[in-house]
Amino acid sequence: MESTKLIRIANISGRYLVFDPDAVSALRRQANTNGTLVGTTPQQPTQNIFLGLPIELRPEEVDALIRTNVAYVVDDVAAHQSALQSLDPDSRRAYVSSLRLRKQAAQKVFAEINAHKASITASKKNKNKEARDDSSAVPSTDLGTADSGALKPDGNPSPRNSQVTLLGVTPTSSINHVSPDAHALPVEPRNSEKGSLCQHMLGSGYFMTPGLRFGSRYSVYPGDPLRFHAHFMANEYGWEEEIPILDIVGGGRLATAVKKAFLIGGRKPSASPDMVTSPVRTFSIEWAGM
Amino acid sequence: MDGPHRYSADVASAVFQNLQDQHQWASLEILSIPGLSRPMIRGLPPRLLYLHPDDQIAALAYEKSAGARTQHDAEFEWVLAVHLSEKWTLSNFAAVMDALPDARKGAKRIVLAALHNDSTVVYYIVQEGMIKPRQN
Repeated sequence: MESTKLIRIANISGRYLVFDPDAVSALRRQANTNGTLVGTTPQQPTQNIFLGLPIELRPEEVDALIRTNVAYVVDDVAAHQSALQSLDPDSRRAYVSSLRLRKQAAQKVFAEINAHKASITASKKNKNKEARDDSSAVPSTDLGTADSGALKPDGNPSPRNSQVTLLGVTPTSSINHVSPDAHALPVEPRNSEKGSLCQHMLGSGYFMTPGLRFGSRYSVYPGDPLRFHAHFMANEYGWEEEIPILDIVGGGRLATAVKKAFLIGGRKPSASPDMVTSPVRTFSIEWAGM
Repeated sequence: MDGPHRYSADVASAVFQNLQDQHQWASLEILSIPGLSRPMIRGLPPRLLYLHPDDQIAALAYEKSAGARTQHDAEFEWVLAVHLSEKWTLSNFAAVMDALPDARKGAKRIVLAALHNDSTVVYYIVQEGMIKPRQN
């Protein structure tokens, strides 16, 4: 882990979010934390198959990241409000002119696209005219030209991809406008055993995704979830929390059916605060096949 | 009052019978372990009950290269008999694991036998630590 660049986690209405793509990739590469993509389009959010940035992290994951000194949490609402209010005239002018620049660039690109389309249609029409002059036996071409003309594979490279960034007037991250350390919340790892299983698994290099699909809290992967199948469905329990045997039977049976093991675990609370914390105990459960 | 003790002894004896009559386990005995309030069953299954996935892969590779089947001898297992309606805690499981002698190799394991009122018994392998699952 790079010692200098801490990852900024935004706390917004009780949720922990990471907006910066570089931070997301650093989390995934160096802290085996993949998070859950939760970002969608601002309008018609359900008309979108794939979710994008930001990623949301679980509170216990955030706790573990703070403990291992990988990340810090900021009150993002307060950071934004103070950034908006304390904007000095110079940076305000710079921001407005940058918006204006983007707008001009977008207008220019649109104008180019329209001109390009118009020239294609014009040349098509010319061609058709020539064709009609030569012979009147091609009746179908005229129908297609009007709407599909711009899509014809006529050797021109598709201009869309390169302009995605140019047209993005609304930035996906406010990283350039909000000071990264503003309103950082004090580092206070929770002084309880809750989250100790998550911490233990992150510490031993396991990745986690939400486990609801398999009726548990975590699906636990031995490496990046894009490369591996999950090995465990895991639940954390308090040291003296009662676990119904029926839950172990159900969890164990389902896990075995999907080629996983059912993992339960937690940490024994230490007798006094200044004592060394006891290790996390975990138990892997599989159907015995008899 | 020996109520709780009688109860766990009854559960253990029902599981004992099930292992003996339905699953053909041999050399079965019910033992009381120092430090544990519940009796444990120890016995020898007719064939090896659990093989770690890495050993499984090694055995398959050996079979492929040597053309002969690998023989895995059955191992004695510790069985913890519980009733389905019971509730256990991590500390209870840890106490059972700690009271048992070390495994010959690999992680400590017990067979958790859950008994239901209709005398169905289901068996689960519980191992200490994060042990990757078998590739059935």
